[in-house]
Amino acid sequence: MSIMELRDVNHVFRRGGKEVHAVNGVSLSVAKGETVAVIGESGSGKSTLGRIALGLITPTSGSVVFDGIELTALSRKQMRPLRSRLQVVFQEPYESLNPRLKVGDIIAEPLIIHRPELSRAERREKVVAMLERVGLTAEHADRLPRNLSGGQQQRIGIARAIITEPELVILDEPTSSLDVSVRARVLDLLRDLQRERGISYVFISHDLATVGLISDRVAVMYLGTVVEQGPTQEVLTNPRHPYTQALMSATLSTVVGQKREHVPLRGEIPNPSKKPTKCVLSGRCPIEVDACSSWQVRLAQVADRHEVACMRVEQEQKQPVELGGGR
Amino acid sequence: MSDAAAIPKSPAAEVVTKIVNFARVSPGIVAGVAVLLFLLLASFLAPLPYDPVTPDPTSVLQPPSAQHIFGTDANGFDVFSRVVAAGRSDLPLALAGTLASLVIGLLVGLPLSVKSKWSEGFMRALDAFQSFPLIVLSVTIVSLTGNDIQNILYAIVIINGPRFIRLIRSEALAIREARFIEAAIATGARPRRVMFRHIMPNVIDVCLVQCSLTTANAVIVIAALNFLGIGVSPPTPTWGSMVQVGAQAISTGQWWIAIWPGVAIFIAIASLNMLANGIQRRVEGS
Amino acid sequence: MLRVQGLTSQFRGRAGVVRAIDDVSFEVPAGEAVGIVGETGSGKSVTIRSILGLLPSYGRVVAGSAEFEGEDLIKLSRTRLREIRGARIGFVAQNPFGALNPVLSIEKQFRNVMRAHRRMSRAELHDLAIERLAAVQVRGPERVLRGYAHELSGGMAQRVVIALAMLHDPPLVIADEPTTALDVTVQRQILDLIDSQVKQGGRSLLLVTHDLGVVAQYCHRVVVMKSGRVVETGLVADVFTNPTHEYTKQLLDAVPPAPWAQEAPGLTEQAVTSR
Repeated sequence: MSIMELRDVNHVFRRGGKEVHAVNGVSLSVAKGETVAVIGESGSGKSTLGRIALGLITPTSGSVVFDGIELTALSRKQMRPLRSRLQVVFQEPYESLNPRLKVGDIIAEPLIIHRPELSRAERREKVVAMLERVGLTAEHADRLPRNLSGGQQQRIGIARAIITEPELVILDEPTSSLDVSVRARVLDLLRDLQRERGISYVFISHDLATVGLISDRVAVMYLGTVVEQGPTQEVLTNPRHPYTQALMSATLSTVVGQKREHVPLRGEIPNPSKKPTKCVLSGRCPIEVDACSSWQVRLAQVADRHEVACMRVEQEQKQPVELGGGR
Repeated sequence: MSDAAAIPKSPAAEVVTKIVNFARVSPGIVAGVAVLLFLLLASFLAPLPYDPVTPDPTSVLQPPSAQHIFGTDANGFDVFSRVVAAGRSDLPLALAGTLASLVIGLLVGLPLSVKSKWSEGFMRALDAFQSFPLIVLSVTIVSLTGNDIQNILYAIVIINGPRFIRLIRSEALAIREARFIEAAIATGARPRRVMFRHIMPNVIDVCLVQCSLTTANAVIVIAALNFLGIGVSPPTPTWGSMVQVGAQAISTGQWWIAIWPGVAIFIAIASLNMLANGIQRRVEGS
Repeated sequence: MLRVQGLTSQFRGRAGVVRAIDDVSFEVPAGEAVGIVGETGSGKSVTIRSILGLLPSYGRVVAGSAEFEGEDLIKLSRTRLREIRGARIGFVAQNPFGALNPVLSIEKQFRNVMRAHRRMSRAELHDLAIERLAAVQVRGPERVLRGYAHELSGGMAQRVVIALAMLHDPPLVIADEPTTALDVTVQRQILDLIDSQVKQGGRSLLLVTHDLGVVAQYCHRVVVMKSGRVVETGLVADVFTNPTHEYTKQLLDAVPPAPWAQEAPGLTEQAVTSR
């Protein structure tokens, strides 16, 4: 049973008179209690996708279904009561907290909006309990965000997101701006919360190593398109798309001498100003052939629930002889 | 720090320590506020040597002396008493005008930060309005509607209201892009809540700076209008009308009549600018 | 090549004087790459800014020395320091767009960097700039030279900065988080580029980073910093396989293994829970 279902979502916006095709035909489903990671670099459209899932942006086309409700059909006003069930944690912990409000007021705000029947004392009680749950103390409630560390600020962002007991939380690079030692503990907290409350996560990130630790399934995005998706373990141990491989080889191990052969991509991410009419990686791909430039991107199954959008992989798949026992 | 916490202090002493600490960090704010408060309190409470509205025909155009430290004017008014007492009308009027402009700026500027055809249209209309020489416009309005003191208030608001609207709108537009606004919307906050709970507290800093600058400007506008004889009913003392009276006497050598109200205007404006500077620095520091 | 001893710097702030780095000592041997790692507020950036005389106005070095080619950089006059920076020490900053002047063409910036230390005719310099841009794999160097910083992508801009830093063939290169502002797939290209540029010229490299992986793969030696102090230094091979300081251990444990090294789910579980 899926809590969120994105079907063939496209989003085009205008910036400076130019069209930006941020999301192109993405379909994604998130099951209850599951964590789906969306991986990509800046400009991959992953954050736009997150905002579409949140109903903050209405996509140009496609459908966004949250617990059976079509979000694209709702007005902003109709959307509001749903927000207690669908929450978000942003990348920049400090920027996402109102610098003028005390921590206690920040965490209490969703309750004021969605649970107006609660008395001030009840609210305070819930806020303190939540502060303690995310590893802070009641004493923090009276502080301003700027007097807290980055890790503590992010814990407050998390507390605000889960105080209304949402069913789905979009985590938009929640640990990217944190130091490594803090990062691990925040990830721990997110996993514990998920285990306790059965929350579903969409974990948006550019860091495959972190994703490997927290997600059940992963979708790799490039130029607004999903190029590979599948169970995390399967994708990480057996990445098939050249882009996924490049992304993986870019992560450096802290084990001296443990180096993965670099799969270099040529150049850099182009501007997503046109709707892709050929393979999105065309022009950067290390295994590109002429036919790639006329190939329409589509996902094809390569293993159980593992899909890849690459013409070369698709062709290999059709000729199992050449595959030589590979998965 | 820990030493201070260990020794129990009386509440009064604590307040003093707080002010001293504040003064150390922001001397401009404390000095500015202190001078303004001094001027304001003195105008209402200080024992004046002479009645500022009763002339003494026997001592006309006296230079500064022990009896009249700032001298007397052509009507026999004591200049010192009048300079001090003028603060009674000039300063509260400037403050009230500023406050009214701020309230209008918030009530109009914040909603205008929502982008729409309507708000764009309003801003264009405001552009057109502001392209008038506003001081001339306010002179016209005040002289047409009568020589009433509250008309000066309207003049200040006509000049400064649009400035506040513009400032608050542009600040609010910038803050609207902030991540915490998106977070508030994602939490389900209604537009009104977003505006007053999240945007407004974050524009207040800039408003405070603008308020002290506007008050300074208002002091000048009031003086200018009074100088032109608008909005004053003699013999009520105002700095502007005193300068006007004194200006005629300068050519004949009685410099003191115009100088002292001028100095008072200067002190008021300098302290307001100091205050604005101090606030600006604190805002940037945080 | 560079010997830093007892370096201590202070910042004046609203809360009084804060010691940003305290008694920092390390060496960069000739021809070696040394990485300074630490988290936010560890003082790693302050350290190199102290060495290069680039502290903000409210900061100053209060003790210690940084000996480079027989001179103490801390005691040098501004003029002499300026002669050394750029000519003898190349600097690559975190944000290439902050390092490049937005209103000058790239060629003009090459000219400025060259003229600061040496005279050269326009034509000669043009050829040299083309050659150097080609060496850092900038495509279309002619076009790039005519253009401005904002026309470049992040990776290209950082390549230009690297070419500028290497223009005078400095024996020491200092890089402050040179890839943090870049996309993941570009990061490794830039690191490989710095690595090859340093190795080819037989130069030394002082690399500041928060990424332990970068140090593990590109540096010979490591300086681990925490709260303004050096907690551990040594060969990367020793420190990373056998950290002696508790903090270094914590740091290393906190980094998840590279995704391609995450084999069994059990391993990943362990990596997060042990801290």
